[in-house]
Amino acid sequence: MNDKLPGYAGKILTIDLTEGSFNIEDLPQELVENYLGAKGFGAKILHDELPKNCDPLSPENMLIFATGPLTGTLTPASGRSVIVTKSPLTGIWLDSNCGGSFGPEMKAAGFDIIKIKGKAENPVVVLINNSEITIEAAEDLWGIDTLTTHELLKKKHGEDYKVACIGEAGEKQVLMAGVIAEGRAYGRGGAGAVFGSKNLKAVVVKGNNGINIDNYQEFMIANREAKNEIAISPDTGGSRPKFGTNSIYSFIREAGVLPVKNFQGGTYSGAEEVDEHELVKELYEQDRSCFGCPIACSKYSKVKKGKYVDKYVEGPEYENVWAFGAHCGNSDMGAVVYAEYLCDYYGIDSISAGNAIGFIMECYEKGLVSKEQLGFECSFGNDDAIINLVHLMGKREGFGETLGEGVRRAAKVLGHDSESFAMHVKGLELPAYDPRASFGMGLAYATSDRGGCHLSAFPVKAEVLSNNHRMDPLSTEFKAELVKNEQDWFTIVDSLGICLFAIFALGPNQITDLLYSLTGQKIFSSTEELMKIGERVNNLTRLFNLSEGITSKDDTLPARLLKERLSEGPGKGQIVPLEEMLQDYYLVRGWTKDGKPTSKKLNQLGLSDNV
Amino acid sequence: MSKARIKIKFFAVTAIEVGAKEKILTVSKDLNEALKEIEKIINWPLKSNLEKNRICLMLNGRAVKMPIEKRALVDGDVMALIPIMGGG
Repeated sequence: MNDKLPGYAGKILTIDLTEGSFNIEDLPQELVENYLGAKGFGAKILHDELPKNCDPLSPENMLIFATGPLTGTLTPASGRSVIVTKSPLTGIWLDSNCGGSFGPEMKAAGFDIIKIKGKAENPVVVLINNSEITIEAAEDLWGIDTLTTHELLKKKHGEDYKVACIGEAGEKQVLMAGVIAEGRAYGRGGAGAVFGSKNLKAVVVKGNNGINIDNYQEFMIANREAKNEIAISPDTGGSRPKFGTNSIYSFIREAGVLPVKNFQGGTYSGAEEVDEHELVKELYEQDRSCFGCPIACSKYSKVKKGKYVDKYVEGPEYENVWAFGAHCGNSDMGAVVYAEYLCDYYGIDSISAGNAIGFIMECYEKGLVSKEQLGFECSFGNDDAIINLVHLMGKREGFGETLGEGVRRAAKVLGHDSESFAMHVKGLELPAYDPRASFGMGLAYATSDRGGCHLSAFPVKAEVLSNNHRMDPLSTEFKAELVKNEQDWFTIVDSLGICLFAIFALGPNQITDLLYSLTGQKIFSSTEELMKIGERVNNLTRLFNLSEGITSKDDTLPARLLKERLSEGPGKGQIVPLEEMLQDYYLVRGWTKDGKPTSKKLNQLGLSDNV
Repeated sequence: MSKARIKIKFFAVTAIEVGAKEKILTVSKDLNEALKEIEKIINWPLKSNLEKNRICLMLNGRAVKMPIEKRALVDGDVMALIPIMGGG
């Protein structure tokens, strides 16, 4: 057994693209103890090392790939890694998490963290083969889609290399561009545009290093228990393997939480025909699984009939069935499959893309944008318009140049109060849950460190998707505590390197058993101490955002959710009573009334030197 | 009348196990009695799944608290049986 910390690869790789150089250093014990991994590592590095108020698309910005202690281990669903950067879409903190196999391979190459700084003079690929690092010219790959880029790089270097790359959208610095890695995506917030701004086409990695385990026997027992819990859970062992992420689709609609037509509500032609059973019957062909995951929630789908026959995708995920479906008033699931495929092809975030298309459809119906401006008709339900707009955003052409900048910027261009129905928080487009029927989700959107996000906290589960511990979705009571605790806990999960879906089966004690037996770090033997790390990270990302100009006024929701009452369903007549929950939240967080961490709180968390 | 005609919706794997997405049934107005009758009609362990927290029960879009509250059903009520699920 070598001397590296159990559970960790033990090294940080820093690449300077301007200089064409790299440096390898040891992973500090202090970073492990205080920040755990992945998101936590990224928070500490971005806060400490990024020049304040730098342009996200300048060479000053950093791309930080990071894994957690459980990434790439025997623990089920441990294929996760994160890219942390300053988002060009929002101008604030961004962590974009990804499954698949890139993270485990990066850790096998020997790195917990890869920091990429500067800007290459011409397009490059960073090639990592264990500790052998090469920066290769990649002019021949520039302009090529992400799927072909994967093929070409594997053909050149070997099938056992794992690829994270951008397509045309990232190269052209479309602000909602993502990074595609082995069929999965670091999707949200524009990390792909940061790649493009650095002339970085891809990071390609291969490794064959092992991971030390502190207590092998206990770790194996903990993993066996975890796999058993996942197998017997009604979610991870029942609905999710069968239906994928769409397992919740028809119930979310039943609970009145599925947003329709850019959160206007109502129905649309063919809506009732879309449900999880039809998706299985009409589209799904194979299960796909991320590294070490027994759930296999990803599905390979192929369209069997109609206008989009033979189109295929790894998906479609629930978020995209909504984004290109109900959100755009479209019930043709063939169009959804093709739109999601195109998002992968160009490398753009499908949630932001679908959200933006729904926004422009409403603008079109309100006369704020014309057929002449777009080049085609664009009413709700027009599947041709959906496909056209994904192409235009991906290529940064025509009206796609405006729309690919996200709905916040598009609303500024279009004016006429369109900002009131531009469905974003802090510039990040909202996902597939209407908080007027799930108040906690409204608070989660308003306070997520990366903007409008359903993965920083997910109160919908406690409010509408569970039985015991259920909370009234239309009450504000205890929502601040729920959101704060979920944010801290989800941050731990995102720092461990496991999938959030695993915690639908695994509780805090099981996670702690896995982590402590793997690492032997005493501080990780206590769930309370782990939660303190989660809280520390969330306070540090808050400090980062405050230093980038965020104020409590930005902890808000689109005017539509605060002023327009839901027209039907269990949330009929409701708006989100945000202000009441927000003040509770600041109090529970130990922050001032204007949303700033108090000195007392920072002292408690060991962050007093970070102000 | 001690009976109510209600719609019952089944979601995700529950629909597969029961063999239907929805049924319209005439059952006792007392919710607890109705659940026993529904269990027999659909031939599916409804009450034990509820007790083991494997499914949740909604009535007209709102949660029914566990243990089952004393409730009176009326004609036209919509009951939903949903397997416990996370997010998407």
